[in-house]
Amino acid sequence: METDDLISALAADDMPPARPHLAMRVALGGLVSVCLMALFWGARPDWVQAVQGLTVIVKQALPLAVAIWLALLLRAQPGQRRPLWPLAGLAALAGVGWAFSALSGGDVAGNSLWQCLLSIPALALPIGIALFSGLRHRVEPEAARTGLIAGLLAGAAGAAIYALHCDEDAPAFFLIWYGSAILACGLLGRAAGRRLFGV
Amino acid sequence: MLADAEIETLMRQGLAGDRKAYGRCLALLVPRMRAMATHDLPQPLRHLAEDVVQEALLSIHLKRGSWDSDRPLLPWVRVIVRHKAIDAFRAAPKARHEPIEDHTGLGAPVADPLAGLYLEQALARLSPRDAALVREHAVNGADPEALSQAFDLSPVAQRVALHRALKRLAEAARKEDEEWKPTT
Repeated sequence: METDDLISALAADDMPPARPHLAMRVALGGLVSVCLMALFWGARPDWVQAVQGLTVIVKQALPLAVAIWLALLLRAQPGQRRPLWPLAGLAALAGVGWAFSALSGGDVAGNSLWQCLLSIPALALPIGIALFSGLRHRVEPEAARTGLIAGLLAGAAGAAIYALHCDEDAPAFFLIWYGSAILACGLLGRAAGRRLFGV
Repeated sequence: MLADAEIETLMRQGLAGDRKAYGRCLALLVPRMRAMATHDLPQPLRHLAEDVVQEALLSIHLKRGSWDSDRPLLPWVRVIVRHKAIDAFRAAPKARHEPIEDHTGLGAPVADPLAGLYLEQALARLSPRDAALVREHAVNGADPEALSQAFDLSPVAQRVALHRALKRLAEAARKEDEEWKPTT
């Protein structure tokens, strides 16, 4: 088929183009996750008092900040660089903080380890689905990296929402288990991105 | 050559539903995309340039909704063409290509330099109906009513069917890249 013929066929297709609408989709997914958390997990009753303590502020704000940083990365145009080393630096910093906290007698295992490790990906899922369905309509030459960023973003947002419920306030607990759960979401997202995204 | 701004204006009009402007935008993009593809491909693979252009056109078409219309269009197109050129390069057989057209007297059919080989193969992989739908629109896309009668579809269903056929065509073209074998 000649290129001019292909153009005629393309111009004949008048279905409206699919638009990514990432911000709207993520907001919707986040809303679903918050509702699920409120319904099935329940926000911790003492959240307002607890969040005045430094460690709880960190537990609440750190994943949120990571999610916002990743959302900014996703705004990059195709072909633009999207460095992940600041995030690796942050993870290393959190690792040092965790080591300190664990060595000074923090409770690493806590009482809700598995609940934490399973709940964060579960709450990340609605956000992840929303995000991936939007990114599929974009031009993504680096499919795996986009998938990793999107997965980490969903995981971090899921962690921030789970933190509304979770009452384990020891940094020795949440730094490592929240971090692991977010990382697992990122790796899942990377695998999904390789399959779903492209040019 | 026309200013980039004019192509962008045409694309914006196309996104707003003006199909004539959209077709013209693509037609104006093609020579530039051809130049990009020729530039990206190594000398022995230059003959794949038109295939790269056609695959890039399909991608532009299906993903045009994600172009941020506040930004220049050409860099966005550039990324797509380069990606498709790299795909073609990876998929191409590594043996040296000796175009048979260069040897007169062998009786080889004259190859149309503007015809895409990949796309023809990808079309062959679609269901006969999808392929016919695409071809019909390519040749006489002007008369939607006659077409919807020929395919026994309502005009709306026909629009949807064409859109899906194009999506499957892009999918088939991508698979073609992955397992491309020289045609006999």
